[in-house]
Amino acid sequence: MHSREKYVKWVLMAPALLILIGTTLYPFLYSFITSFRFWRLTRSPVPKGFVGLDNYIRAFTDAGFWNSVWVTIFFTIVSVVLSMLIGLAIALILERATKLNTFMKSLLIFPFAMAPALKGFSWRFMLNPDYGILDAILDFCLPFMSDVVWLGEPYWAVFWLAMTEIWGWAPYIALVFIGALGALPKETQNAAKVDGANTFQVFWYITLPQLMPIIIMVGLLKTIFSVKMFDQVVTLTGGGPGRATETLNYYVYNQGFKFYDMGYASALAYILVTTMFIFAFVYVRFLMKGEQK
Amino acid sequence: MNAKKLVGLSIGVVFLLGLLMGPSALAADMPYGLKAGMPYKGTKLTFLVHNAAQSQAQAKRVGEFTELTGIEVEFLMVPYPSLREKITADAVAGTGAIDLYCFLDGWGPSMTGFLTPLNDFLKRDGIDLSEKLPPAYIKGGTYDGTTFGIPTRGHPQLLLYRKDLFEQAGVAVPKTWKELIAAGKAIKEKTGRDGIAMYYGKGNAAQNLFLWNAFLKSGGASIFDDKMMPAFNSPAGIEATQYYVDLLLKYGVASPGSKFFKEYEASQAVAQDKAAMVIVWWWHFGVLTNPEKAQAVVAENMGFAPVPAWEGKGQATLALSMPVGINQASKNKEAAWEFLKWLTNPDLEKANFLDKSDPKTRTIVVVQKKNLVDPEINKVSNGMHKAAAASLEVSDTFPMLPEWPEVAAAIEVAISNIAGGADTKTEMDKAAKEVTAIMKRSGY
Repeated sequence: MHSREKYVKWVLMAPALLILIGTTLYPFLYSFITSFRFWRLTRSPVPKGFVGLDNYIRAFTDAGFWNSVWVTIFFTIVSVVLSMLIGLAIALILERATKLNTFMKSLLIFPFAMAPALKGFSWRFMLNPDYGILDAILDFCLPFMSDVVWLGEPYWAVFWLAMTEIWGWAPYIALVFIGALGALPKETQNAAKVDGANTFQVFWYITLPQLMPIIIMVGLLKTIFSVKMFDQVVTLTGGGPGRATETLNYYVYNQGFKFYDMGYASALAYILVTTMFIFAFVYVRFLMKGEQK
Repeated sequence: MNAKKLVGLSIGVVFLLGLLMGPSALAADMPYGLKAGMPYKGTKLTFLVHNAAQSQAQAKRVGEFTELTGIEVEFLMVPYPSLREKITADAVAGTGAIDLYCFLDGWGPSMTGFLTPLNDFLKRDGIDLSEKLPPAYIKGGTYDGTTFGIPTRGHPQLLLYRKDLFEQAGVAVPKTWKELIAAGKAIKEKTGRDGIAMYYGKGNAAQNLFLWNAFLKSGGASIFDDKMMPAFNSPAGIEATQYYVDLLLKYGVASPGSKFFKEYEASQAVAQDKAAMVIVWWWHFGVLTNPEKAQAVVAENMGFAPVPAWEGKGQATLALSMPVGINQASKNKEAAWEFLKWLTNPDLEKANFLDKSDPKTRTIVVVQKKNLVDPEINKVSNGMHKAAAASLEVSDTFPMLPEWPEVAAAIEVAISNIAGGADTKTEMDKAAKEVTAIMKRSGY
C-alpha cells in the first residue's frame, strides 16, 4: 500500500514535472550549449559549429558589454537601496492600525500591480518637456532646473529609470515590512521604553535587528529583479541617451533579437545568470547564516 | 476542310494563343492573376502583421479573397515593437505555423533564411514589380537580386508644417536647410512655438537616423564606401551630422525635447501646438489632420511639402516600406502566393484608402505607382500622393545588409550622444570603429 502511494505521487506529479523540464530545463541546457557555438540567424536558421570559449572571450573585450555591466550595477544599487529605505519609512508610518492607514495600505499595491512596460510609457509621457505633468511640476518647484530635459541627460535618465522601479517596488516592500512589524514581539520594545530608550533607539536597537531576516530576503529579491531590469529600459529610455541606460538584460536582448547573434547572446545571458547565482549564494550563505547565529 | 480538322485546328490555335499570351490569359476570368478553379480551397493561412490601420482594413476585406479562392486567412496582429521578435521566434521554431510575415525593409536581409524567394513565382505569373512599385519600395523587399517581399505599406518623408504659423511669421515654406533654420527662428520669435520638432532620441529602430540620412545624402556624403567600410565620418559626413544636430544645439530652432524624442513624440509636439514643423513619414499627416488626435487649430492648418535639401545640392530622402513575404517553412506556399497577389493588388489598396468610414483609417497609405498618381486619391489627399511620388523619385532605402540593424545601432548611439552635447567627430569616429569591427566580423 505504501509503495503504491509512492508510485501514485509520482504519476500525479509527472505532468507538472514534464512541463517544468520542457519549459525551463531544456531551454536552459540548450542555451548553455548554444553559448559555445557560432549561431548568427543572419547566416543560418540553425546553430553552426562549436567555437569553444570564443563567445565568452568576446564579451570581456566588448566595451558595450562592460558599459551595460556598470549601468546595471549602478542602477541596482540605487534602486535597491532607495526602494528598501522608502519602503521601510512607509511601513513605519503606516504601521499603526488606523482607518486612514488601512485605506493607505490598500492603495500601496497599485503601483506594484502596474505592468512594468506601462510604467515606462507613463513616466516617459509625464516627463515630456512639452506636455508632461511631472515635468511641469518640477519646472514649477525647481525653476532653476527648468532647462533640464530629464530623459535627455545620462545621469538623470538613470535616475528616472530607477525612480520608475522604486515607485513600483517601495510600496510593495512597505507592505511586506508592515506585515513583519506586526509580527514582532512587543514585549522587547515596551521593555526598552520602560528603560528610557527614545523612539529612534527603540527602532535602531530593537526593531531593526528583529526585522533583519526580512530585510535580507527582500533585499535579495529586489536585487534579482533590479539586475534583470528590461521592460522600463525599452519603454522609458530605449537604453539612451547614448548607452546611459543600457542594462545587461537589454544588451543581451539586443544581441539576440536585434542583431541575431544567438551564440553571443547566450554566452552573455550565462554570464548574467552565473553572476547572479554566485551573488545569491554568497548573500544567503554569509548574511543569512549570520542572522541565524 | 472537314469538321474534325476544323475542331482540331481551333483547339490548336487556342492552345498556341494560350502559350503565347501566358498564364494571365488562361486565368482571364480571375482578377489579380489568381488561379482559377479554387485549387487551394479549404487551405487556412496565417498572416503575421503589425496592428496598423492598413492591416485592419485589409482584414476587413479578406472575405473577398476567400470568396474568390476558397482560402481562409487569419490576420495575426501584434504591436509593431514586438513584430520582429514574433517573426524570429516563429521562424526559428520552423514549424510553419505562420505562413506570411510582414517585416520592415531594413530587417529583410537579416531574415532571408526565414523567407521564400519570390522570383520564380513572379516570373511564372508574369508579374513585373517595376511596373507596379517605385524603385525604393522594390529595393526594400530585395536582397542580392532576390525578391523576398512585396510591400503593402510604404512611406516617403515629407515636411509637415503649420500653414497659419508660417503666415503669422511671414515666412515661406523652406526649400533648403538654411531657409528652414531662418523660418524656425522667425516662427519662434513671432508665434512662440518651436520651429521644428526633431527626434534625436535612441531606442526604436534607429529612428534618429531617418533624418540624419537626408542631411548626409543631400550633403554628398554616404554611410559606406565602395568596400563597405564606414564613410559617414568623412569630413562631409561630419559636416552633415553637425548641421543636423545644430538645429537644436546651435540654432535653437528645434524643440528642447528633441534631444530624447522619438519620431512619434516629435509628431505629437506639432499635434499639441508646440512646434510648427516636423519631417516624418507621410502617414503622420493623417494623424495631424485628425481633430481627435491633434488640436483643432493644428488639424485645420496642416500643410505638406518636400523635404528641404542643402543649398545648391540635390534632395535626398529616405523611403521605408513594410514588405510581406512567405515563410520558408510554410506548408502552404502556393496558397500564400495567391494571397500575396490579392493583398498587393492596386484595387484593394485604393478601396481601403478611399474608405473613410472609420476615422482610425486616416493613416492608410498607398504604395502602388498607379495609385500614387490616381486623380481620385489625389483629390481626397489634396495632392499629397503626387508630392509623395516626387519624393519617392529621389528616395532610397538604408543599406540593405544583414548587418544593418547592428550598424544602425552603433550610429544611433553616436547621434544620441552628439545631440546631448558630445563632440561630433569623436563620436562619429568611435561609431566608425565599431562599424568597422562589425563589417570585418562579417567578412567584408
